[in-house]
Amino acid sequence: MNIYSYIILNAYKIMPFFIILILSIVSVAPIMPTGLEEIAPLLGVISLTFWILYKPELTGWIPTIVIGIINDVLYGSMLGVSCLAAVIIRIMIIRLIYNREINLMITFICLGLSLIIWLLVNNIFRGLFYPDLYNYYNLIFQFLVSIVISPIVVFFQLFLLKKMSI
Amino acid sequence: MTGLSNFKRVQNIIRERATNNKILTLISLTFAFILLFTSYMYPNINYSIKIKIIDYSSHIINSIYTPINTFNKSIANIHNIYNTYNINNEIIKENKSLKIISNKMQLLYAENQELKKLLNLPNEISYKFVTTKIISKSNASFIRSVILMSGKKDNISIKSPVVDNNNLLGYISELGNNSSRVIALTDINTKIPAFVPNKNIKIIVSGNNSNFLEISNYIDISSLKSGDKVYSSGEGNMYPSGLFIGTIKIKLEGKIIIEPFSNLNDLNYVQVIDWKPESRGIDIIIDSIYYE
Repeated sequence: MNIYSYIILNAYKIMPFFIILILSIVSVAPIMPTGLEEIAPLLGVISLTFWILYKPELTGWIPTIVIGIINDVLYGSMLGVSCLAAVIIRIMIIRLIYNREINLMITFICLGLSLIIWLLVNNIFRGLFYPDLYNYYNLIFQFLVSIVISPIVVFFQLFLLKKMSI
Repeated sequence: MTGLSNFKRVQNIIRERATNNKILTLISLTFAFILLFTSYMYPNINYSIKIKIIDYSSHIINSIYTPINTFNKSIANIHNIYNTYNINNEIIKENKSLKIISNKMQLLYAENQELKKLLNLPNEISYKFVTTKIISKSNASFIRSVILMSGKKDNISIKSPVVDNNNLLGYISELGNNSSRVIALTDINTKIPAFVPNKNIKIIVSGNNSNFLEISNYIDISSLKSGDKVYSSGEGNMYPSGLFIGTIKIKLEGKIIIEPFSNLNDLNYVQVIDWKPESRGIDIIIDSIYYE
């Protein structure tokens, strides 16, 4: 077996990481109509949750931390904030799915919880010093928009997972 | 069937081994906290890591951003073509009122120049700027920023004001060689000394992560009316004076807010003002808070 066949045969192992990465970059692209940019769905978080749920062995601690750091860079928040949120999400999901059958209901419960964790951690560190000024409506609307968009992302990734057939 | 259940059993074992490692969990959590603590205690390290990553990944971000942006622009163009008749009617009305204002302005400008000559006032500081492309708009409920495709090599400096035709948009918060980050006016961490010329009121304008700005100092602002214009005052030496910020709006419950004139999200190109002291002809040492 040469190096190329080895890479191709093992490409599926890095696929979840790249899907999360691409969706994280897409979520900072202008995907929302004018005036609604601040409530753009957190596609990267939805994808991260999905892959931790369905392929935790391929979305380990290191990819989770790296994705967190990349999100910090993309959003411009303090380095480590999204990283901490991603680690907490992974711990929460692992505890939740341990010895439990994964179905769509569990998936959406985990998605909801992950989005809450992500938004709360990021908002706490960003708006900690100005509680009077803080605009909480955007936080709630971003959560709701992400929840509404999440079935599309989940079914798209389920399709990819089937194609991976591992 | 047996094969399938065996497969699932093996999969579960792999999953348990991979996921239920307490030591790894603890290490990851500790790492995240250390990273956060280091970023807080040593912001320079945090800054240089972030800017290095943005610098190296700017072309990748741009390659994903460009097709999405082109698609969005095409949709906006189709919408504009569909509404051409209505837009044209509005523009004709607006043009008429602008012509009247323009005539008044010309008279006022001439009068202003004459008075300046009489008072022997020195010339205003002129500044150069660099026009640059936006490659990412990182908008979320917790942050308002964009990434630009220009950095140190394009003669941009940290904390430089970013404008769109003399309308203030934000400032450079992170600066790399090939890219930089702009924090928008509407971000919660942005504070701008401003004034309302026709009322002679000085205020501090603050972002709140929404599409509007707030007035965050506690002076009597009851004389402000809807439609009053707000400009940067230039105090604190962070922004030039006279940059247009936005228009005062009074909400139904009586709260005064400012609607920014330009929105970073509607733009693809912005201008970064060369705000280095030496570029402005300033040869004395200026407060280091603003010029690291």
